[in-house]
Amino acid sequence: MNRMSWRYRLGMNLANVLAICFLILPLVPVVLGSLQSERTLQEDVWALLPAEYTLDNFRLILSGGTNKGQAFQGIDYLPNSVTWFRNAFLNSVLVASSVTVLTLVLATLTALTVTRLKLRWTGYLMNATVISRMVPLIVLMLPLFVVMRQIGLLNTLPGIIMAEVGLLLPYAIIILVPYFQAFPKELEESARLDGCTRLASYLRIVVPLSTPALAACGVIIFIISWHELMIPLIIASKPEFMTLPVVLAGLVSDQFVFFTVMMAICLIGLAPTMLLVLLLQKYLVKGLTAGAVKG
Amino acid sequence: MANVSVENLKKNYGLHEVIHGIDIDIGDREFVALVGPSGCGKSTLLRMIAGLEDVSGGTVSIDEEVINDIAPRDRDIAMVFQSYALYPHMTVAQNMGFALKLAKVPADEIDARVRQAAATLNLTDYLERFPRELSGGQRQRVAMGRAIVRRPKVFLFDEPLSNLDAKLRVRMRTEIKSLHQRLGATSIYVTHDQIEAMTMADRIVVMRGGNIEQIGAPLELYDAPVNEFVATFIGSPAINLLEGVIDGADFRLPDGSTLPLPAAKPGDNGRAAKYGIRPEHFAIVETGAMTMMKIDVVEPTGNETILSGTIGGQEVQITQQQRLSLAPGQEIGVSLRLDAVHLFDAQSGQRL
Ligand SMILES: Nc1ncnc2c1ncn2[C@@H]1O[C@H](COP(=O)(O)OP(=O)(O)OP(=O)(O)O)[C@@H](O)[C@H]1O
Ligand SMILES: [Mg+2]
Repeated sequence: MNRMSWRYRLGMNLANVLAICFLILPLVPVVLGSLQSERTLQEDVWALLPAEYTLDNFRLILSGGTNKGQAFQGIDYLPNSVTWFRNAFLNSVLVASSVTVLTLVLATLTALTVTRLKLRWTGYLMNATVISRMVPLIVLMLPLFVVMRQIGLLNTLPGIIMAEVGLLLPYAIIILVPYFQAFPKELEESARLDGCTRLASYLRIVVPLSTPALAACGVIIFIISWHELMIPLIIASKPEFMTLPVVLAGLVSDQFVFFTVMMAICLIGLAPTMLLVLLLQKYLVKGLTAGAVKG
Repeated sequence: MANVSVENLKKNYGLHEVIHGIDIDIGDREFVALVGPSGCGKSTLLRMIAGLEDVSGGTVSIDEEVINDIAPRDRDIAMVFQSYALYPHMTVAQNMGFALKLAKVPADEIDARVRQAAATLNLTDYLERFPRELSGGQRQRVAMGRAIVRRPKVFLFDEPLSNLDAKLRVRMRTEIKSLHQRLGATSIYVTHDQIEAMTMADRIVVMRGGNIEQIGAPLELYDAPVNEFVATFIGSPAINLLEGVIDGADFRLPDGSTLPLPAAKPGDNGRAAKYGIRPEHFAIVETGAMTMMKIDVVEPTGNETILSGTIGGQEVQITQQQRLSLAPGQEIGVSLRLDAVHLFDAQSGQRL
């Protein structure tokens, strides 16, 4: 393309700014809310900026309810969710990272089988996988509960991880299959003649060259798993096995609603995914556009 | 060392058979070229020998041992792909040493062998570069280097030069040939360029539609093609084929004119046939012309002159070594080298 006219560029930039605002704007009240006390918030709900700023919400959450600070001085009742926050955060990190790693490993192997081995049933199995994802998750909740109880995985992190891997595997497979299909097969063939087994040629050639796709896929899985509410809600009823979204949901349904605490939890909850995206930005842009343009 | 043999080899994709039971015996140290039109199954055959494609019937053997079910990595075969298939995330040195590393050859020996191969191929200055930082010709050399450091039993090449420009292609052709003379490994070389096949190979296998048409030394195919297909496939400009019928000692063209038949050819009176003669087997004569040729186009190439025109209304091309001053539209008398004439059956295309 040759030079764009300034009008065109201006229009594009405006559209960009609008799109970014649309995505970022909801975050502004969350940030502001998390920086004030419940009292100042309730005094004047229409105020644009808080009358005074405080970090007490974060202090309360991060200390597990022991450091009440000024804002929560007189309050005896603290929801479960606040006291268990640190635990829930750790659980979430554990669950989301295990789910991401496991799903990537399994999905890579599956996608390679589907694209490389000319087995008669892979096509049908692939379709079955895709179709099974069309079933609404809520329908599966009861059977999931029953099965998990049967095998004794209720109220365990492995139970949550297993269920989420099952949920996310089809997505990951669907993302990776086209990528591996487009992978030049001569590279693997060459590796196989050079002395690799099929598996070794995947691990030494295909996987290192697929980091953009794997990173993109991994981030998507991590984010979905990080936000997943339904599965941990069903499987974990004891507070020590709850994940962040469960804790957040608990805040809403509790006797009192602490908006400012909830906003602070939201912000801390957002941090890991944002961090991940920033770290893998380089790969993500490549991975999400892979196949769109022929390199 | 190694001889490769293929017996009654078949390949089908689903119900569609693309290779119909072929037999080839390739001797130790031999350089064999597989040629044929696009889609005739050259790559498929090569890939079956490499083990990259399952065999649907028949056997592939190396040194009398059937290797149908042996994994590619255990066949001790190196292959150079048309796309070169260099590993993009490895340097030239790592690319070349990859197979040795997998074979657990000690690092210093890998290094020595890679350096030696790089020196042979003028790649020493590029060992630390990545494939994307190389020109097409250099990549091609790396692909060759990757094959030779392994010292495999058999080399397979699938159109390795087809992505290079004409000049480089000619140079690499010579280089591959001298490399083969030095290393002496059995080589199978797929190409659709008949000049490459003629100049490099000890023997050529001509394929068509999943069958072998003829196997022989380059000049054997040139001088004694078994059928019309092989005759037209080998040689450039292509052999001239004139349609007509055998009429006693003559070959009668549809317009009534005649060409003399070689004395050795049997009568077979009235048989419809094609009269094949190569462009260089014509001589322009003042007297004693066997037939007249009408000139349409004169193309001097420097070392020879290509004349296109018609004999008895049918198109022919002849080449002449001397420089000629001829004008389009002119009629010239020509004589033919009768011992170089081939007759092909009009229907089957088989040589009579
Ligand atoms: N994976 C496949 N599935 C089905 N048919 C195939 C497959 N691979 C090749 N074929 C068919 O097998 C035949 C031989 O193909 P092959 O690639 O061996 O031809 P080739 O002689 O190498 O041609 P070219 O000179 O164009 O490379 C072709 O008709 C092709 O359509
Ligand atoms: Mg081919």
